[in-house]
Amino acid sequence: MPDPGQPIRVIVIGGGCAAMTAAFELSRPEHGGRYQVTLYQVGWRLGGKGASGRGPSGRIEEHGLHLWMGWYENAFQLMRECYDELGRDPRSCPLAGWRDAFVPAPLTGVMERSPEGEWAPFLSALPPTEGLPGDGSARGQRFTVRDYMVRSAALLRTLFEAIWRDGGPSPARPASAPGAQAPAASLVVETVTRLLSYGELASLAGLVQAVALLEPMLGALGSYPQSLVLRLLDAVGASARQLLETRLARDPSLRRVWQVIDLTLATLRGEVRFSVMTDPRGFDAVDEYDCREWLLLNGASPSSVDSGFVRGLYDLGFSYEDGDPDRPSISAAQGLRSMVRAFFTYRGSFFWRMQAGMGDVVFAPLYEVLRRRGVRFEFFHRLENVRLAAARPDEPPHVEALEFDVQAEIAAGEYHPLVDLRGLPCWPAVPDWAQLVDGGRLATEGRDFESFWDRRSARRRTLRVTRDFDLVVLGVGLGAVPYVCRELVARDARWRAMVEHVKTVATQAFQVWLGADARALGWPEPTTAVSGFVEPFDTWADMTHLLPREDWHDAPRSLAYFCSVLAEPPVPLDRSDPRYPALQRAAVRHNAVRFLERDVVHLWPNAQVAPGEFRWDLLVDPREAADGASPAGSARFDTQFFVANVNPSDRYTLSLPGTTAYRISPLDGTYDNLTIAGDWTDCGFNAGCVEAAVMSGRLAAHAIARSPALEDIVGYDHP
Amino acid sequence: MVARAETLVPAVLEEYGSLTRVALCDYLRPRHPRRQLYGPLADYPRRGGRMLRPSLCIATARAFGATVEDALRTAVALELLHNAFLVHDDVEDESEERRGRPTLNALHGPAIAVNAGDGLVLLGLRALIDNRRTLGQRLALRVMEEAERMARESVEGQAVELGWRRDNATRLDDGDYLEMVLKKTCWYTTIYPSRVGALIGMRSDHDLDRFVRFGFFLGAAFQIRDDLLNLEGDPARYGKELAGDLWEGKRTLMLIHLLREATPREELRLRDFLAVPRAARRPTDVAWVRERMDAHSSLDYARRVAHALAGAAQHEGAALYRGLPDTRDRRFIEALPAWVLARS
Amino acid sequence: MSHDGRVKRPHLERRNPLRSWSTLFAPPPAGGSEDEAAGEDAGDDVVTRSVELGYRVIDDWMRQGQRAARRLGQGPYDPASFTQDVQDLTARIAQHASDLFGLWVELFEMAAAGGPRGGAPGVPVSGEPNGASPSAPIRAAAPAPAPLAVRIEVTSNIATEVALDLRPEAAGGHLVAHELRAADPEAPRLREVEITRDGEGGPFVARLRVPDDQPPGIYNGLILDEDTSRPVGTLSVRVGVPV
Repeated sequence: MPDPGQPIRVIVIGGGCAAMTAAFELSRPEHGGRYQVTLYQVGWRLGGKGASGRGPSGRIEEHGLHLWMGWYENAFQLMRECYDELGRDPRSCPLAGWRDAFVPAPLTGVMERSPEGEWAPFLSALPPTEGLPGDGSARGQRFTVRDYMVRSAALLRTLFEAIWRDGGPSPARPASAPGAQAPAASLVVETVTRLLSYGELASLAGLVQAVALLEPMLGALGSYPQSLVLRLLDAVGASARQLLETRLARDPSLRRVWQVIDLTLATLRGEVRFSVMTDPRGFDAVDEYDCREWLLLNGASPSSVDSGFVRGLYDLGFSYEDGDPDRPSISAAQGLRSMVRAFFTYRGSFFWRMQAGMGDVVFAPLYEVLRRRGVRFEFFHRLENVRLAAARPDEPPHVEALEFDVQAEIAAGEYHPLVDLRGLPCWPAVPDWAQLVDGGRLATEGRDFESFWDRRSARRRTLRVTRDFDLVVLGVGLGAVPYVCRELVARDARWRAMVEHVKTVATQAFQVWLGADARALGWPEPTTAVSGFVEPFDTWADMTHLLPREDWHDAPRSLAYFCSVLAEPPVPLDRSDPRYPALQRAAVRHNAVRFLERDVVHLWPNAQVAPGEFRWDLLVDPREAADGASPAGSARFDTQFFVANVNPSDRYTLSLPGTTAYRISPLDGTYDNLTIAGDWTDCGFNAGCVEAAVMSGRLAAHAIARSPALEDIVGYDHP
Repeated sequence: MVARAETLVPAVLEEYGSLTRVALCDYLRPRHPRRQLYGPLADYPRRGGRMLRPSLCIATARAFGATVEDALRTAVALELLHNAFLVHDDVEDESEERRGRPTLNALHGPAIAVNAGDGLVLLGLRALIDNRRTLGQRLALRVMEEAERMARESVEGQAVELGWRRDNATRLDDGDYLEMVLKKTCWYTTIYPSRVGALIGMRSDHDLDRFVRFGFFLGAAFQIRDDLLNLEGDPARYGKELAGDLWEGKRTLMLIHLLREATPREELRLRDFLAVPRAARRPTDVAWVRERMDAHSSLDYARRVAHALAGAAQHEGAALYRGLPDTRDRRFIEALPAWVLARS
Repeated sequence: MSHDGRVKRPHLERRNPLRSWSTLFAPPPAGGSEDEAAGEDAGDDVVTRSVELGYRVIDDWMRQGQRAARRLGQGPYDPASFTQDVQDLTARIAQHASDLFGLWVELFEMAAAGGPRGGAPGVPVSGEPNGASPSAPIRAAAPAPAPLAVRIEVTSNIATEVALDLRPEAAGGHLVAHELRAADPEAPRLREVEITRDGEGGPFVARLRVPDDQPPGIYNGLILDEDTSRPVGTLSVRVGVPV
């Protein structure tokens, strides 16, 4: 019998958002030491897909672009609690509080291509909202489709009023002001029928009145015949298009507003027609459809569906099957869920920017707090296999052992992973060889501890249930699962189906440090992150704000990050071939150089010497020798940072149509000493993002400790 | 499930109710001054009642492993407090009948009635103090803390409702109603009995907040049903005068619904009806209000809301009690949401 | 636990998100009322909205309560913290003779009997009697375990000894100090006492001014958490330290 006085030993495998969240929850002081958590991490740094390092001149080197959104309630709650508990001294640490680490970034943008082939940005600053992310569930808020629909209708009304305000005196406000008690259903039906039958929608006044009536109708959908609601939506769309037609031609900004109106109308039509409001599955009722496909089915026009708006949605979610830009694919359910959460539930600012690398902002503080709480860390441990107990009729299935490769031994007890960079604890870009046994030799051998293809190790280490651990939280990336959970996949049909259907995609990214700022390069607008650009590198983020956190002797003027999906190579190459990572890395380099030569001119008109010739001298070399000897021409690109995220665990999780059903929840109890955590699990918000990972980490903790309560995981109970 | 609710719940109510009544008598022994205080204050408790609150308290305690003796005094205290509220309510509402007989204020005048109500509260406190002999000092103190909380919430809730009547509030919504009911009714009818029952049973106050949701939904459904019975129930079996709530202008869910749905002309007439004191209201007006409620299906609406809340109570209750051993007490508690809807 | 002593995950009541409330709380089947719903959907609406509203009301309310509860600290009630209330109230209660109020005395007898007197003692701090200038702020450490930074500032021309006792629960809240009273009800109260926070998350600052004509004696007062109205500490001042 296990000793009730002894703590329960929990092994957390992985060091990304999900795993760290699970460890954070289980090590809470409220548990009174009930759980002894040990976290196993490959290589020298925590973070998983969010890991970052510091290279020459202290430059931040990331896997890609990580944007935090104002609706990430769980993630921000975690960060705020972490920083609070950390209690950094603002006099010595530049990022002492969470408000130092995260700043509002309200400006967002997409690139759009005119019919003539001209690219132009469409930027919008979404208005700040009340509160701050991580404040907690807004006063007992229950998320419902009905709410979202009503808000969409309110949005429509605002947009229509905005259009007409531009064009002239706004028509008289309809009788019911927003927020007033809803008019009786019979009255609404009467008014709507009248508007529709006497063609009154053809007038501005009628149109605005009709739009205003949408709110009460959608608020009490059951009280109205579905046909009437749909007729109204159709009529509003048709009439609006007609009335706007002439104005659309002369005013391109109006076209964008129209696109939003068109997409919103289509979304509302779809929600009504597919009975999303009453379906027990919520938005998952339309999981089988691709988002664009579904919008078209519900009457959106092809041009709206190809707008920068929608492209941006796909790009930010890397939603391209197999990384093929010609196969954009995201579940309509997840698309809808992302849109309503992002636009209707953000707190403070739409986006929030990190003021250093994600490793420095998120994982170093978490590491420090966890260590202080008594969580143990085993670096340089690579999980090789999750061994299941042999199937027996009287014994439920469970994990019997965990097999690790110890990549390197620590010379003196515990490995200390952080380095100080101007007061900020950071992760280095390479391990501290001095702390490793035979460190010099390992360095010379060029050990790449994070690479899937570098299988070298010091020894094998097997941990057994009951002897060494009690419970397991598996927080590795989905891409690693087929390799390290071979037995689970072989014996369990659900796991087999999951790895088959829930897919990942490789991504590519590069960062350039430039001797000129964006304005000098010819970018006319304020800088921010824009998406929807060409493939590859559809997303550009200006990260100049990070330069003060780096350690340049002669600071560059600006910093730019680019990222996108990375296609699987056209000739299928054996993934276990050790040449694979180098080949993909070369492909990224090639893509980046070509992008800079050919495409970046649309963003930075002054970055070219001549067409097809990028000003390579703009790139700032962190190792520029005193005599100024540095490569010239495109070879200068090698001094910058670029990465092909092809390690299986680094691949980005997709939300392809029809795949939600194959995800497994951390709450699933099939294996009574194992739970899973990651943005690939069935965590409520089933998409690749920090928030999903944090939610799943909290769910994994709940699976073990029944805490946090499911009701406290904001957004878990959500359509 | 329906069949069980029909027989199980009344049987348990009967059993625990009798036990409570017997123990109650200990505290109602005649003392001095008799005619002015101890006589009147013993009146309501002796008239009987459903005994839902003490039964829920005892059943919860037993479901969590305590004995009837452990919970009995707390149940008695609660019933004494409940009767105190009834006495004061009747004074405030100027009611004339309660449980088939004249109210205390009708019999003795409001001054004596109010004092009798106060006396009942203090007797309840006495019963809680006596808990220290059965529960030990620490637990008894803890129960008392809960009781203070519950009494405070009830008084605050009552204040809200009285404020509505005094200020002739007519622009209320369902949220306002639920908040008021939460404080005024749910705390002492369902939340507190569950909490102290669990407290006594577990001998620990770990995580008593889980009972708040269950108690709230159950209590709210109970109150709405109660208000419906006031308008529709069989006067012989229902304890208060029929349509008494209309006479009082009580802001029930039906009245709030009616105010919301009424035509402008109807609203004006309603506003006037509610503005005058009870004495100035006429039977024709009361009948008209009732008829308008029927016309706008206000009672149907309230019935549906009660169903919904009972459903939520069922959901919360199932989650709350699932881990406990399958005892009659547990089944009684889980059957309460259905019973609340079905009773007449 | 299992027969072989292996630790297992706990049983979970719920393993899925609740994506829609309306279908969860449909009215119970026939056996209840005979009402005809206007339409099945209309019933759903009322059901959905009622339940949503109910949850909103209760969660809102609970959140306020949780904040206050956190301030009160976890765990069973500590009769020790009752002590100051006892001192306060017994002084007043001593005047009441009525039979019914004998209850109150019994009640507090009971409370006072349980648990040790007082919390951890505060650190006495002496103020120097000097001229018109106020004494310099004196740093006082609060009792272990949670380090609660506290500063006491005394303005006095009479020798004054201050003892401040703050519970760890005080850490999060807004505090208010009530006027300090002596055991003798006739003695003037020390009214110029306040307790504030030096900046967000900064140390607590207790300020006190003792008038020149204050009769010597011991003056006590409660420090309450404003949000919960619960005592979280006591302030005890001895005016005119005897030589």
